[in-house]
Amino acid sequence: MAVPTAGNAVFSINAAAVGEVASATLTVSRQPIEVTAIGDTYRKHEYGIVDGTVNLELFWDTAGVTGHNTIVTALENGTLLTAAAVVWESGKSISGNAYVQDVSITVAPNGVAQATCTLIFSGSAITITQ
Amino acid sequence: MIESDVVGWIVAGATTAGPRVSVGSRLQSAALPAVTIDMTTGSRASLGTSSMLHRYSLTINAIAIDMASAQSLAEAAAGYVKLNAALGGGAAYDLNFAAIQEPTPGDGDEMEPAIAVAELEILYPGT
Repeated sequence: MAVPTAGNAVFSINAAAVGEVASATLTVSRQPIEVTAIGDTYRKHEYGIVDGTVNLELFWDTAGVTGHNTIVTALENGTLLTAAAVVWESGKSISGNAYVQDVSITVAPNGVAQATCTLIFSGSAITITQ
Repeated sequence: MIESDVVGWIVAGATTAGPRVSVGSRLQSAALPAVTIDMTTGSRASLGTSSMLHRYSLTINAIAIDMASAQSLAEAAAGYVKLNAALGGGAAYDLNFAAIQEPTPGDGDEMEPAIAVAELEILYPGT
């Protein structure tokens, strides 16, 4: 059964929900490593290392909303965000420590300031709780 | 409901429409100027319950006997919506404003009122 995300889904940093998140997209991958030998008939791969990114869309407000300042400060100082987690249902999440790769802020004449951010899991376990 | 909030904001602003602010339509015999509002969409705009936002699309129709009055009334009404949305921890911004439907001759030869239309998007804290 599909899981309604309305109230349960959150993006959080160190267990604190980040406010005014329009969407959070988490991608976990394991890039294959090619180990095909010369003379093999078919290509052959081994599993690589688990990797993950989080893409966020935010209604950007570093002054009044929990977590936005934390993201931009981590980018500015080159520090890790502890336990960046995308939760899609209570008790179900994917999390890990992450670097902020980029923050892109968009303003337009008719609207509010919005930002997209990319986080990259780095240097510790990516925990999948399902 | 946000509709009643918006009506309250405009009425409290004491525009030239005074208390003649209603949802959807107005009584045909009501005095002018008057304002009608139409909340066309409402949706959840953010995840979770921390600083949760709802998004609403609002159309304001300002009806007056001449175009200038209708336009200034629409601007005033939209201004009170933006002001009160901000005071309530949200934000409202114009998608479309100053669009005038000029008075047209009605049945017989009487002039129908002028209508100025303002469209706003409101981001407002939800519960």
